[in-house]
Amino acid sequence: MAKHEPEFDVDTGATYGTHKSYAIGFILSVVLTLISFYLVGSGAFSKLHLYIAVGVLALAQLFVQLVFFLHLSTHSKATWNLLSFLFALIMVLIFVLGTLWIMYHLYENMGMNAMSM
Amino acid sequence: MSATPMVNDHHTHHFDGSKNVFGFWIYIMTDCILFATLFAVYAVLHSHTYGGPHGKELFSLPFVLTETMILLTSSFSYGLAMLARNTGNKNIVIGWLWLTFFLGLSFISMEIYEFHAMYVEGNTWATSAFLSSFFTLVSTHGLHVSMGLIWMLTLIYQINKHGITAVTKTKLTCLGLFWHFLDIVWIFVFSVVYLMGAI
Repeated sequence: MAKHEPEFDVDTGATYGTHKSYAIGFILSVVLTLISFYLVGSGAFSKLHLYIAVGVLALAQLFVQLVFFLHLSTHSKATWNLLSFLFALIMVLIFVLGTLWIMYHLYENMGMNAMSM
Repeated sequence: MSATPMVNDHHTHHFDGSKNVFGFWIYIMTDCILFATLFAVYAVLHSHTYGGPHGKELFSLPFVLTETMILLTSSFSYGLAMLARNTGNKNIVIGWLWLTFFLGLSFISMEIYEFHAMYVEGNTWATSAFLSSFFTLVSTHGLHVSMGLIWMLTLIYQINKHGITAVTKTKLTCLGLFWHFLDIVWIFVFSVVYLMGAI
């Protein structure tokens, strides 16, 4: 077993991580987190720009962890993992964006405008 | 499934963990949707403070940064346990699992401390819609981490007793998916709740 390690994990069908890949994932995550906190702490930009920056950094870190920790990739033998993930992602986007869209317009029409506070 | 022969252990003969892991992956995807709904609720209600405090007055960024770093390190140390499992040395695996466990426990302790401090100051889940959704979202994540910790203890016990077999390997993989997933959820908790709340 130890001599010829399979390229793919027996259970997940995903590629095995290596010390290097875990270390890269960890360092990238730490750097992205620190940038996020630094930007908000310093208040260097306008509010809108900070919202966008924090959002983009979070998505970047999501991508880093999916690739380096969960080993989700198109090379994976387990394409069902990726497919079910993409399906869940679509569901998540419909729920979150749909909810925000509906509620924002509700607030607008009721003259509450609370969402933009 | 595997090109390499299974370990000759009659207890685990013909054990194929791939379906277990895929099934667990599907569970995690449904959990994603659970968290998505809670995030949506928080996004809608976060400005409804009912005269109570806003996030900006409640959250301490250095505190949350420490929590984040602890959870991130625990994700990394779990990855090292996963790598050590390939060497077949159970003591190294158990060592990394204990480190992961104590990092996770520190994270939960900090979260309980934060909640308790807010509660004592009168900022409870009954204060406003904002705090209701805040406590629901963040403590659902905390509850998941706590469950992961209990699971990790049982796994440490099993690996100690049975060694690294096909069965315990599969369980390690499942808990690994769960643990990394919780770290990913936390990225959005600290970004959406704490950082965007502090802007």
